[in-house]
Amino acid sequence: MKNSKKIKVKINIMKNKYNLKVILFLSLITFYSCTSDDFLEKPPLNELSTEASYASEGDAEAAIGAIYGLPAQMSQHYYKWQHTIFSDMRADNTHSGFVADIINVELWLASSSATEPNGYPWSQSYQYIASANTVIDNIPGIEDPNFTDSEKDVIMGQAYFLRGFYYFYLNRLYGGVPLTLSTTDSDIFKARNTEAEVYAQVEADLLLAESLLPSEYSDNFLTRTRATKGAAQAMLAKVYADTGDYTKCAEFAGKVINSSTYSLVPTFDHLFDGDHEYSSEAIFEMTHVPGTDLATYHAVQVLPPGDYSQYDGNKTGFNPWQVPYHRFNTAKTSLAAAFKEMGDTVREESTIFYVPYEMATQPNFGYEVGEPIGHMWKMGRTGEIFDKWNVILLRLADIILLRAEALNQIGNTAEAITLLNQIRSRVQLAPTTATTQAEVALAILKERRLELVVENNRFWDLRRYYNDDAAFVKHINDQTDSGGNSFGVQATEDKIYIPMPQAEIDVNPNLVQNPGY
Amino acid sequence: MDLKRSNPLYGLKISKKLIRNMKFSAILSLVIVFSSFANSYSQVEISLNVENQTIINVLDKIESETDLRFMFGSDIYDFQKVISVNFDKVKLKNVIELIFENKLMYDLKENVVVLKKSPIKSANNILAKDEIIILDTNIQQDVVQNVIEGNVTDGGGNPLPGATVIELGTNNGTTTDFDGNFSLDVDGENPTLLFAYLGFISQNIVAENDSKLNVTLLADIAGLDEVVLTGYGSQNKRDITSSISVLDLEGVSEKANTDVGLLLQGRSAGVRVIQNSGKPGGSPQIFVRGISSLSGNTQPLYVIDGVVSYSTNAIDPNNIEDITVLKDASAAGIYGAAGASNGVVLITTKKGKSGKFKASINTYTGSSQLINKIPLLNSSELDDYLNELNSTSVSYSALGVNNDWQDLLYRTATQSGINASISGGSEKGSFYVGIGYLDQDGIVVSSENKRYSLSINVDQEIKDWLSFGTHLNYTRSNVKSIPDQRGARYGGAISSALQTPPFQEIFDENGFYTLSAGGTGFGNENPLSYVYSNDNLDVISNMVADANFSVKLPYNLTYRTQIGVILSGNRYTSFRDPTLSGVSNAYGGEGQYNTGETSRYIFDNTLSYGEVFGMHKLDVVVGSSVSEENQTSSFQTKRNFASETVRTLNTASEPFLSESDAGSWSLASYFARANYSFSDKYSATVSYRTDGSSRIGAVNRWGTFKTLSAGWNLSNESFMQNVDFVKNLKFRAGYGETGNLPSGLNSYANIVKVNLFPSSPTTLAPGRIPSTQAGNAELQWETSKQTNIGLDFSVLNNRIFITADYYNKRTENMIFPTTLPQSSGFVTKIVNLDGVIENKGFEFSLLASVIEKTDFSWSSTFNMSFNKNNVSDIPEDQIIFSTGLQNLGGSVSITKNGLPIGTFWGLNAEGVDPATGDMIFTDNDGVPGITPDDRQDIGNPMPDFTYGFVNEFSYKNFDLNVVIDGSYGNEIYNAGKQNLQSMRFSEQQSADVVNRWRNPGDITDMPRATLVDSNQNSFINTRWIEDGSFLRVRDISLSYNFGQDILDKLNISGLRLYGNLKNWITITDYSGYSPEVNRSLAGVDKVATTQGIDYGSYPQAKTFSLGLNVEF
Repeated sequence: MKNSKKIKVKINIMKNKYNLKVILFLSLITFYSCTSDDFLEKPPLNELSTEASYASEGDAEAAIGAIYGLPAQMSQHYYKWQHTIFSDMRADNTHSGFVADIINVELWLASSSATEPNGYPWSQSYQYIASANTVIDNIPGIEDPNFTDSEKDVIMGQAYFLRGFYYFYLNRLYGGVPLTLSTTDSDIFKARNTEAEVYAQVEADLLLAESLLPSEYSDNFLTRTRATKGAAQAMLAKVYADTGDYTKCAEFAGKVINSSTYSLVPTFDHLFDGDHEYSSEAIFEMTHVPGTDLATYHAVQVLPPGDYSQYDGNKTGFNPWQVPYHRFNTAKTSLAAAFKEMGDTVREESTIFYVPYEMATQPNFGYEVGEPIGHMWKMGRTGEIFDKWNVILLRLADIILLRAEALNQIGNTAEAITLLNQIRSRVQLAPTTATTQAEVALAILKERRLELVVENNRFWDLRRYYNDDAAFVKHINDQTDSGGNSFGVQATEDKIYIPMPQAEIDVNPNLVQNPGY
Repeated sequence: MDLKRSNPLYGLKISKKLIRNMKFSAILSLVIVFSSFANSYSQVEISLNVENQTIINVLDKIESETDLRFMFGSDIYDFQKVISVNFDKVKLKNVIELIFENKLMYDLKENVVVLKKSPIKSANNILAKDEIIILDTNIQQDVVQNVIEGNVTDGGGNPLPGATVIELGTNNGTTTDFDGNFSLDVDGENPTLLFAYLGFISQNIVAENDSKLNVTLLADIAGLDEVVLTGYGSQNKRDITSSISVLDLEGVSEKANTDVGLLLQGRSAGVRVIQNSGKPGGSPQIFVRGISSLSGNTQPLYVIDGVVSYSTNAIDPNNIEDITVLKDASAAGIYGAAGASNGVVLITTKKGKSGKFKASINTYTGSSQLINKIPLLNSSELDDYLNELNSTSVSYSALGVNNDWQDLLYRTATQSGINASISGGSEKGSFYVGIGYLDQDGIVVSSENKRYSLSINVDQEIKDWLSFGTHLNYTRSNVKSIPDQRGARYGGAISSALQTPPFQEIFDENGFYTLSAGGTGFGNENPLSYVYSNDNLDVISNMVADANFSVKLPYNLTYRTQIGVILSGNRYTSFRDPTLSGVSNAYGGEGQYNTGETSRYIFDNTLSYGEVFGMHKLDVVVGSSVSEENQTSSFQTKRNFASETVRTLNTASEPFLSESDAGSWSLASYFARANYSFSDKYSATVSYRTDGSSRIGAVNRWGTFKTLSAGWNLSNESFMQNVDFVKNLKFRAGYGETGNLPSGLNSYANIVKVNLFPSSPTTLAPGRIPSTQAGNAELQWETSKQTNIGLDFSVLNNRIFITADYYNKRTENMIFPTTLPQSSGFVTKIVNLDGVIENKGFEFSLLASVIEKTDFSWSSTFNMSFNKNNVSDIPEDQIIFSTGLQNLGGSVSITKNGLPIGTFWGLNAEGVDPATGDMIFTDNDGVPGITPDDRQDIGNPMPDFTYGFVNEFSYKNFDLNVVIDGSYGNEIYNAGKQNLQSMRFSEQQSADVVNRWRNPGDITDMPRATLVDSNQNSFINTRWIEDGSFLRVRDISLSYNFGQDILDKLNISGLRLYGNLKNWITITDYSGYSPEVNRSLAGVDKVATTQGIDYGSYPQAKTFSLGLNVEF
């Protein structure tokens, strides 16, 4: 009973004096108000918010600079798809290796809309464009006393250039794409703009860029890798060539050629050997920084199959029964023959890497066992295997030949020949023997093929040359291997543009597929 | 349910009641419970001598002498009646009986005695009370007329000590002694005696005077008096109005258990456990009532000793006492948001039992092996295939190499474990300490898990009004893993062992592991390379701990506060040996050191109130909960090591990756719930909860979730009193809402990512690019609205207890990462999708005491769950192709209106064209050729029904336990087969490929070998769809309990030897390793839309183990 007395006292105290207070206090704890808005506001710890990201000159530089870093970081490299497979492979320069999806591209199959490759240029280009749009949306509003109007102009000019640049190549590939010009555009499910509308937008962006951008930056690296007035002019020349305005094409190409910023490098091999980057010939060059993420490139996908010991000291070759899985851009026999026919040993040695064809199981493309088979090799060849993968997106030789082509088209064949010979002389070739307008046009086409192979030109060079879809398609279909056997390419006029990615059509009902697919 | 009454591990035969009492007091300390059970005031003895006083005065006197207080309605009895009493140390219950002449009943709430009218006398109603009032015979003044003697036993013939015997209509009663014997003096002629024992069905027996009665009580499998945890409280099973499964884990936790999730397998209707990997340390996926979220969490919420957790990683299954699953919304609604839509699993860990010190050791050892190999081509058959494929004539089999990669990769693995615990307690407190060690080798060479565990539980009553408890569960696992759930081309060892040709050497001429089939030359080696040249270790620590105080306040209020802490940390180290791997050699070896830490606190405060007003019973709980989590991680990779023998990163010269990451979230909640019941016939529960989350933008941050349910105990209605064929009949109906959150931490904000760009030829600078995910400030909570209608009843004299539930769970405002057209510049946006995911189902479970005889008993639970999943009303243009498996030909799964989530989508293969050897596919759009619009629904990954069948047999000293479960009607996308019968890859193919088409006119179901495959034979189509139905004998265990004589000799209290077989019998048509598949590489939150895909999953093993339990 003693024990229960004690309890009684306690309970009584609580009962009589503190009951209500205690209950009130505990109730308050139960419902205490630490649940203020602050407690539930958790801004990201590992990411920046858009609102806080564009406030200073440094932010503007970070925003524009990032766009240059993007293409090299994409796991499915922009250069690989947009700049080689859809130009040289889909035309008549190279083979796909033996990946079915890529074969669909090479063989122009209608079913290729369901396959992967046609999606990469689309998804990646639109990300670069969105980044450019972010700059265009946010930079004008930055209030930073150290950020002058002329500095803003340079940033804005680069953004307009990059947007124009990527819309240009999208338009070339897909033929009319949706135009998104702001990150805050609420119209998400856009229908396609016409090809002409896109070209008009590209022209407007590039003209604006030309007016805003400097000819050169404070150092050579930036001049070669950033958008410049010259780069804008070079792109405009391409736009006018595509749209048939050869007068303006010649005019803008001329501006580039006459600029003191650019000159041909004397030794052709220096362009791609990996030891002479950022040369005077480069108008717009994409940097891969050695030893960093920006150097990671799916190198093996353009390397020949077999023994890699010569590159990294270790043999990690394929097993003999395997068909080489990745072997993009094997030279077609016609390309090798074209070098031989022109006697162009300088560019051939810099471009094609022959290894003996010894694997009986690989598709032979008309090559016989024991014969050398050609692999494209127009990238850095020195240093570590994953390094030195700069890609020259625009260079002077292209623009010189483009001006030659334009001048020839508008009747100034003589000057065209001069420009053509300028390119030929660098690689120790005799002046052209072509004289008539038609002969010169063909000579320029052949020259561009050997000068610019796997540099994202061949498909559209052929298309401009024929200026007739039926003839163009016939050229593609008439290809044969060295034995005269057809490759079975199924090109048709309605498949000149690659298909809209199926995944994009799946989510955007307003997107209409190209007719051939 | 406990039918193993003869189990000497429980020591004395009296244990049944003892265990229940102890279990209950453990629960008491954990949750707020109102009950007169185990109330110390019931033991108060009263001495009082008054003459000719009114009852009211007598009660006043008692109040003044003791702490007791009386509460009553003045109309229930004549309190002005004048009485005289003379008590000397008489117990309270007897005092009340005497004063009120046995006409009133009472409830004791702490020190408050609530007086109330006695309800109609019936067996059921007497059982309904928390404790049966027994008059102490020595204060009976009545004349002894007759004596009835007898014995009470259970169905197995074991005596039931402490069973209650009452002469109905009188004050006479007694309890049985240690041997189950009783002797009762009765008033009437041929009186009716009531025999009752908690957990058993009570019986009325008409006794003849001076007779000897032998009474057998049958176990009450319905267990209506069991206390069921409901989250922030508990209820008697009979008052439950929602759908709650209490798992019968009797004996389970004393076996060789490796994962908590597996304890749920087959044991609860509506709970589907998919053991999708046999990886040591891997956890199964658990789905309660289907999949109700597209992108949010699909796994149940776990509440461990009252602490809301999101995994069971901190728990050693051997330390689990109870598992309760809250299935419907009205049960789970008190947890409102953040996963309660997927059900709530309440886990109670083992506690000490008062009055008894106990030490026990459970040790086991066993071995596991691969269940089946997949038949593949032999070397010369593969030669044929390759030559046909590549138009060559080469004989690789002539190389003389013949490696069976499956044999090389799999082994007979051993596992062993030991768990030891000590526990004990007094009336005021209890403790339990358990430690455990598990050493489990995987059947894939080099994979293993070594797990150390600790559980410490202490509960103490500090004062009568204050109690304290603390619980800690900790595990530390050392896991060596192998890459699985991916293709050979992406380093998956399981796939690689199938696809690597037999004539491939293990090592090349430099002593490096050769490259795998399909390898691109960099990063893909043969299966043994990943397994042997990669030395990795994941050290994972998990802790769930809490401390709580419970304060009893006046007015029947109880305040409880609990702080819970969840800590998890992991450290991953790996080293790719440059002397074994050519790939690694190229960069001088690669070492990784990654760490991650997650910490969370959860602070809960509740006020509870419980009261009985006559026939009305009311329980209310209100509370708040706040929690906050912080996550950090870091990733370090270096290359170029000085030596392969020293593997710490300080000896490597080339930094390759160095990153860290961080995130945090917070959640605040208020909630309230009221349970009301009237006359044990009608009961209802309402709850309300509001949650605010940092993961949702300020606009719609707070979500509100309400539930309502009601129950009707028909059996307590007077018109049912004479119905014998059905007992304990109860209807339940409820409706409620629960919520779910986006998996990302900041889906609402517009985010800028950092991206590096070259600032010089050799340096990088950080730049900024917009995220491809568009922010959504208007994001709202995902809400599931669930209706549940249930029925409980028992038949065949309570031998079979049946629970059946129909439910309809509709998820709205689905949080979903919608895919935006990339032309917008964005790729995804987290949105609330219009439309509904419906999970409609019927489930039932049946508990049966099949045989209950002396020496032999068989009890069984069988459950079956039918769930139909359907998506409707989502925007027509919103067709969700899941990217969980991007295989040849796009995405395997689709989610669209009219189909279940994650339906397989592809071409319908009609057979092989004898002319061309290509597949003929159904042309659904009339357009020639194979087009995307030819794709169709080709299979449903969700089963029509799943079932579980758990049997417990007991024969003399032997116990046999058999767990069977299965699934019917689900389909599997066998992505592994897509490689093995691709007929296009230059790698190993399955044995069936010998039947391929070779020449025009061949009739076969296997298409031709073709490198180009322009007909898309190998793309996504019905060739890869298989029936995933299976029946698996999950577990067979046989144990032998040594008899008392041996125990006495050894001076121990329990000794049991057991053998255990896991996964030994599987009946299925599925051709892969295991029909239980679910590729989950994309993470738990991506599980919903990619169900039923088998892609290089680590196969489950069949295991045999032997174990020993010793108790002191």
